[in-house]
Amino acid sequence: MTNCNDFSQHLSDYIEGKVSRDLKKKMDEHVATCSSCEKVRDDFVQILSSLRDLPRIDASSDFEQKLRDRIIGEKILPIKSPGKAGKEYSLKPIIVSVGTAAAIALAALIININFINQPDQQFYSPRLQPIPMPKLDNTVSPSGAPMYQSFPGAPTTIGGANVSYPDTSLFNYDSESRRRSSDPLWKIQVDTQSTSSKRDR
Amino acid sequence: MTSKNKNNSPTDEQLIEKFKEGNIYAYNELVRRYKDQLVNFAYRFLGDKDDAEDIVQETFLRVYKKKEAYKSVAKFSTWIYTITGNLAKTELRRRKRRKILSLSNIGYEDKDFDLKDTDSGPEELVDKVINDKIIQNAIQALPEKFKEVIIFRDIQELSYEEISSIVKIPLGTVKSRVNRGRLKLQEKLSGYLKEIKE
Repeated sequence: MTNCNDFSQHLSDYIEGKVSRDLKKKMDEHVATCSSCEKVRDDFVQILSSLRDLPRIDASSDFEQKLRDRIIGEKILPIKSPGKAGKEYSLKPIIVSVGTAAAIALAALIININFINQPDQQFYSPRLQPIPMPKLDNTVSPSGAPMYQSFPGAPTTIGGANVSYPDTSLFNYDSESRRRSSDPLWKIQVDTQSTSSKRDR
Repeated sequence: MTSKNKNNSPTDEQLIEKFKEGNIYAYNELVRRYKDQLVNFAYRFLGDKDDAEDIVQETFLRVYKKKEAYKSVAKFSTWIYTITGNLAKTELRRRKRRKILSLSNIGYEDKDFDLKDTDSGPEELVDKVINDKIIQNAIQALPEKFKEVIIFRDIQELSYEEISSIVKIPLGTVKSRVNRGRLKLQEKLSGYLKEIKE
């Protein structure tokens, strides 16, 4: 014979048919004489049946789509906090990179502002002086070619030749001419031509 | 229980290995096989459909990101139920902390685990069928360690051995907890069951 404590302790095995033949006989005898345990047994059976009959709650129809969106979102927007799991998605390297880039950009901007505020000559390297170039004048030369304004220090005549409104043909200087003189380009041919004509005379 | 071999379809374990090799279709198949049963489990554990779906979404996300953590010595179903179970327990504890904090401010007792069903009277319990809501409330009212094994055993119908692997407690302890959990349910529901009988 078994008591109520023993009976309740083995009740699940008893209902599931997993107790030994001897124990089953003892429990059958107990439940036949104990109305309290009989009620517990009946309740047990009913509860187990109700649990297994509960309606199944399925995933929503858009469950898989939501999951796909989350997987894509996690890859594109790395918002996981740092840690073993989220390390590969940490924002830290991105913040450092952006910060470094911003610092470089700021430094470049400051240097540029200082540079622009300097006098014009500061734009040129000391070893590469600006080459004075003639500017277009509003007037037209006798040959119909555009006139060129002179600039401070530029000769108007060289060797008797007027170079204030040279023809464009005068700009056909060659490398030999360039080598022989560092003067402005229009001077060279005129100068050499006029000098040689003086010698001939 | 959940590995599929009918009609030569691949088992769960074969699918996760395929997914590890980069086969996304294997992953999708695993999602299709498990989404409903996991949502059902999480719903019975938490009592809220939206929370249950969130937990299961997070479960599959972890499977996706941590597939390498799966070791073929364990069944895939054990692994994925462990993930969902842990997430559900974490959510439950978070809720309890939040509830304790909010109730402590107004001096109410935490009556979260009392079985209350003011909307339902005995007349609604027709032909010995226990109302789903009453059963769900009774499950919710169980202490966590009993609730977990009761859902696994009596709703999800897992074997004691598999529950033992998921919960990581000895087989004997699982059987003992299931029995004690059922007794606690019987205590909570006996009044309603009495009404049905009469």
